[in-house]
Amino acid sequence: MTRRLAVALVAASLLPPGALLATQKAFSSRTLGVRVDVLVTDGRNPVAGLTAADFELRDNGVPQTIDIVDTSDIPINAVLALDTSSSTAGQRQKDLVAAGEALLDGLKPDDRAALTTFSHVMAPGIGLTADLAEVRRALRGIEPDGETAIMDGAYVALTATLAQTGRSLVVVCTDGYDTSSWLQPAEVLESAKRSNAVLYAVTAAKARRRSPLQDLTDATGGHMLQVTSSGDLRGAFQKILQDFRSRYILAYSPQGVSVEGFHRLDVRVKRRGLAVKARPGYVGVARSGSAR
Amino acid sequence: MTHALVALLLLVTSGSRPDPLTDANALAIKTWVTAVQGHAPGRRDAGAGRIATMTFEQRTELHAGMALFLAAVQGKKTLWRNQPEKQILELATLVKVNPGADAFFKRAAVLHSDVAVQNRVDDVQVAEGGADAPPSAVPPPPLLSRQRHVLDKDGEILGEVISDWNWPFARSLLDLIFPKPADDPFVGIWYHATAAFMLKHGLYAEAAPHLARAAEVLPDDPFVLFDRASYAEIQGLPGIQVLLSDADMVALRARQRSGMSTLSRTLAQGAAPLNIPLPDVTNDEAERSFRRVLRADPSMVEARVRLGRLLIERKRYEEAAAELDTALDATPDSLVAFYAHLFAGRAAQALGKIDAAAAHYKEAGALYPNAQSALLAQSQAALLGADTAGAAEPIHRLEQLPVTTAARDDPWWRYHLAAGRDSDALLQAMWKKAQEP
Repeated sequence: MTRRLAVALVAASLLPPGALLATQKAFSSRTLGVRVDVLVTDGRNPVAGLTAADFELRDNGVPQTIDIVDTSDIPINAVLALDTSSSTAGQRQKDLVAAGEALLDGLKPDDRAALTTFSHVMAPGIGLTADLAEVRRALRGIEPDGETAIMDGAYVALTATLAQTGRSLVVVCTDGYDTSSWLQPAEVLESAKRSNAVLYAVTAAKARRRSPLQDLTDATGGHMLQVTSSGDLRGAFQKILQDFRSRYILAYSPQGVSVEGFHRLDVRVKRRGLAVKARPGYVGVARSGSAR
Repeated sequence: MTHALVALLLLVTSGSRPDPLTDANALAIKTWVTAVQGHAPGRRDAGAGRIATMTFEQRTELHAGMALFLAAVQGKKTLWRNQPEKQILELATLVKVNPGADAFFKRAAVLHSDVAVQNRVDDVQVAEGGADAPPSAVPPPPLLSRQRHVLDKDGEILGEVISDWNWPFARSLLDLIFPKPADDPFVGIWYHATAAFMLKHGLYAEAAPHLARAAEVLPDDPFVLFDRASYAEIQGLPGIQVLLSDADMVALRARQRSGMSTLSRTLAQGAAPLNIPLPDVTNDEAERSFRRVLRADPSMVEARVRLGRLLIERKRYEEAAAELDTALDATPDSLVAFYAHLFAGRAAQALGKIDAAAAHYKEAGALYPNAQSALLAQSQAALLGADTAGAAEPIHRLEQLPVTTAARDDPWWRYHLAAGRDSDALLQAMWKKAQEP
């Protein structure tokens, strides 16, 4: 694929999948349709060097012709959504800030970052910016207080990635349970299906119940990491960025399927023994306002 | 047997005078009566201070003479065997004349509920050490109550607290009102105000027996019904349900199949149980209770709004929308209208009516422009309508607001308080009523 093609495809794919299709008529000459962010691993290690020929992708059961986009020149939008409820005070706060800074350290000059903190109060304080020093300052200014609204926080972070150029990574980190969100898990899940962001979650290990964040990571092709102590957060954040940089973007113009509704995606690798992580589907919207 | 009779028997039989009372018992009664007589409702006076600092041993001294004293105040035939018992009966005779039995019982109940209120406002002590009060199937006499309850915050269990003995003791005193407590309007006011206080401060373990007794005393009081329904609803909210583990849920489902609906998970041997019902069980009870409220008083709009929210939780969206429309037609105050619009939006959204949902969320936002919940709801409705710019706009507005609870002024954060929102005003009204002749 030429560099120009790659850029055009990525530019088109930066909107939510539904929005992409919504603009299909107006921008049909340059639309390449849908992009799917895919992680391939061999054991715990990401696999590099695969080509489009190594993949099979079906959209609602229909095989599609895919391209692989060169991700090396596509900037990353890293959105940190950090739980700053009162339980994170003390060492957890220090470790959380250090983890956030470690992720920022791993970004390249063209990458951008955003910071949303949440207790029961949402603080979408720093929108996507290339000024990482600003994000660092905000990180260091975190003041834990209040209760926990994880779903609201995840939603606000997802909205930061809407209609953005680049690849969007959302990292949600919490040490607790959702006690005060307005938005319900099913509602945020619907929003995640309309976003192109890949959501990773970092939670405390030995949780007593299944986290709704698991559904969000599954729906976006991300992953949920559990840490046994806040001292492990730094390594977890670094691994997330490493994994994200190792992902492939598969792009295609949907053929043989209708535009609207939920599209079930099935991504496979032909080589045996490799595991594939990708979003299971997306919501297609033919035109604005028609998704009801 | 009525609960009042049980309470009286408990008081009498538990102090069935196996031994003659002592000077210490008589002094304890005299000190207590002085505290009751001198207490001004709602004030932190000397009497309240004396009660607040009573040790368990002092309560034991008081308890020993209480049955004799209360029986005498009620006009029951009592005999004294020694000088201390004679002193107690003389004191009872004075009380019976001034202020009179029922007035005294009410004053005493107010004193003890005031002490419980002041204790709570002052501090919460996490209980340490082992189980000096292991859970028992037989409740202790109210004066000697020291049950342990689980203390949680933001989804985490912090430890245990010892329940305030003043609550059950105050209830037991009101039970003595003749011919029955329900005949005195003060009792309903007291139960509603104190239940609201418990809800405001999250005293759910103490609210459970409080509201159970209120329901026995005042089965058709719409405010008590509302408090009971709210309590059941609150038990189903995420803030409570997150305390249950996945294993707890499995165990609860198994118990439900065998006809039991609550789980008493004991955190450690001899420690306090964690009594949390399954969400569908408690939501079912809440729904039935709110319907009873509306039958008793159809003008209680907030009950209808809360019923609407419950119906959404139970995925009965059409029913929910109808109830919420009815509630909005009654032009409730701005707070209740906010809830009604927010929930009506959610019901419409679930029914696929995104435009209607957006309109409700906009109305909610007009009532409380800085409310985070309404802004998030507006954003999400826009996103579902494939309007990414519309989804981003409310979030930008959030960015511009100070990151404080006060600045966001979100009624959603107070929803779990129910009547607890009005706790201060209800206590003031109760204290005012207590001072009436």
